[in-house]
Amino acid sequence: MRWPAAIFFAPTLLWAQLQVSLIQGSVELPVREVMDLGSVDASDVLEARFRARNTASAAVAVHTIQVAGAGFTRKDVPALPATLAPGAALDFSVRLAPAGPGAYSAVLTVNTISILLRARATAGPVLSLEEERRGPIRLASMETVDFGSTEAGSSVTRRFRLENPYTERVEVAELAVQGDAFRLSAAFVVPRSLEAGESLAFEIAFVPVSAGAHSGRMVMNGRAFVLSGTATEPPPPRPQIVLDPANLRSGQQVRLRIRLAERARAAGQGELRVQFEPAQFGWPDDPAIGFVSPAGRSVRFSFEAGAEAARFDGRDEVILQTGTTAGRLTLEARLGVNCEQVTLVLAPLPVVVDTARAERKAGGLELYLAGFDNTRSVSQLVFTFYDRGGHVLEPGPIVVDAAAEFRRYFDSAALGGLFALRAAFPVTGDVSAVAAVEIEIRNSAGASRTSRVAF
Amino acid sequence: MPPRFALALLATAAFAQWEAAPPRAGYFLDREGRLRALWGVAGSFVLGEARLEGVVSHASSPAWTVAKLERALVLLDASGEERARFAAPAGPAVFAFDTAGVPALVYFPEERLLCRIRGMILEPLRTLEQDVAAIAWIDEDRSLALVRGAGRLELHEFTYSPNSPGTLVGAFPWDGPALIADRGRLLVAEGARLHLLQAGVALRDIEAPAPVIALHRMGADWVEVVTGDGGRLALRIGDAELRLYVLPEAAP
Repeated sequence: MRWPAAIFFAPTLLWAQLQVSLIQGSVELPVREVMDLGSVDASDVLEARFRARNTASAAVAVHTIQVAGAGFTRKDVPALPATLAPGAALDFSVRLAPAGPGAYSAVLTVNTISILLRARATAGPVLSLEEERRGPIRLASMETVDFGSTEAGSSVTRRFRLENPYTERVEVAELAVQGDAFRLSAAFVVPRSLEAGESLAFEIAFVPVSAGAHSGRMVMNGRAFVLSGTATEPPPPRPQIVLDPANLRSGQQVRLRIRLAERARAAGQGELRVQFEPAQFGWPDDPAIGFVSPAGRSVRFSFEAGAEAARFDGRDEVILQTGTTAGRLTLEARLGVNCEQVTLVLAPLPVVVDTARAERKAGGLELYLAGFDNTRSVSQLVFTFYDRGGHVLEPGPIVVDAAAEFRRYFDSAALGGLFALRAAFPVTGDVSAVAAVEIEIRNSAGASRTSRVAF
Repeated sequence: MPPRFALALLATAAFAQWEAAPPRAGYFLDREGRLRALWGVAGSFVLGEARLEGVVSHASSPAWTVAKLERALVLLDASGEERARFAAPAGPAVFAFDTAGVPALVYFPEERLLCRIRGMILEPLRTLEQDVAAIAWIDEDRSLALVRGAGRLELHEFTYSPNSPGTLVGAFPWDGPALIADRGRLLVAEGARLHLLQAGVALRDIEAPAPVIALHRMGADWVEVVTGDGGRLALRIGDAELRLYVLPEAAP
């Protein structure tokens, strides 16, 4: 729609008790007998808004609002007759839809008031949207071209055509696309001419990078057309949990990565959780089980568009500790609606000894041993001492019933199956003759024996 | 016939004293400068509560831990109880333990002052003007100091006579963080590479995930390794191999 380009300012026309004005924004411009509404592109529509106000001191009936002229119609006319109180007004519009370039005129009649309206339609490139099934759709200024819905990161293309249906050459002085999500995809050099009957096609692509509603404008020779489209979030990829080493047991720090089943089409984030179920009902939770940085049972991961793997606060992997209690570890990676779950069995093991030390003290021997029993069932300790020649010293293997003490310890400790063992052996005789010791520990899963520990 | 000796024990639980207890790997410094106990064994660590705040330097033996606060020195025993606290010069410190694992020496780099920790007393011994990276106890009269200079580390033996020069006993082609471990072993960082040496001979080495910026003795066989990307690792300096483990990190 084009506002009138030229208005004749004249003394107020007060035919009878009605004053007819042209509305421009918030301003009422009185009209006279001949009114030039300006020019419009032959492909567009020109609309002018008028107001009839009762300037008398008594009520006035408006019984006639008519427009007669090729291409002209009236619009938004209230039901007639309409009675206007003193000072009241009613609004209506006059619309020109030109059939082609040329001069247009019409008579506007409001009650007994007659106004000659004049306008011009100029020849310009005709813009159409090409639709496969429906054929070309001619576009008027400020009409909306909807690109529909597509995933953020993908694109939708619409094809347009500029045509010169007239007998004279027309100019394409300007063709541009505004808006971050829209691109004029065909190389199109302006300004250029379109000869009579000539047409040119071009494309505009909707290329949203983020989800949501997007809008833009196409501007051609000062005429603007609205572009709109909606972008949806692409579905998140499926997470895949990758463990190194793949076969887990108690007492390990394991490297864990999240691989994406397909390359990510948009950035995203998810959460990785670990749950633990002890092998025996009633066993307390194991604080050594979980991620180490930061320590806990859950950690967040994220990825950028195009990524094939997730990252953990900038790192490619996260470290998981399997703890020191037999049971079942369940890892769950949740990413949007996708969830990957892996359950691992931490099998019961014979006692695992991490450290063993032996020292001679005045009058005796001291042994220190640290490790874990993921079954919490240590039953016996067996100490075997050796001389420098490697011979077993009397009285041979010394067996100690350790079940009660270890049961008491595991019931009170809150460190899973972790334990340290300190043993002191008073010695009469030459303690330096004792060269080494081997310690065997038995639990419900079997027996484990240290290597020979030298004093 | 193999030599016989009598152990004063019987084949029952009453023969010896023994107990099961939680295993403590040592103490380490978290990202907020708090000294924390580290429980567990290799691959299975559990964070203990923060024991001291504002710690700038620390070291542990199997039985003792010494921590340097901004202007104090604190000694913790094997159970983590504070046994002594001294006023001390500002800044970091370097520590050494005697053969029994008792804190014996402390060096204050900003003062260039070497002191003896004797019971409840901090006794100044002498100054060491060099850039000292680590110290170690030999006996009541001598110590070792690992000093930096000209892009390398030199191991010097010092007496406590003021101004007496040290005796060069070894030199190494690196000048990164270093410490003198027990049994005469040296641990030196060269970028991300950690070298373990004994009697000047390279025993083995291992690559950390990032360049190493600090080393702290954490316990009997453990060294806390701090890397430039903020990582905190536990290095096991066992007889068979060097192994690195990730230290748990307290949630913010």
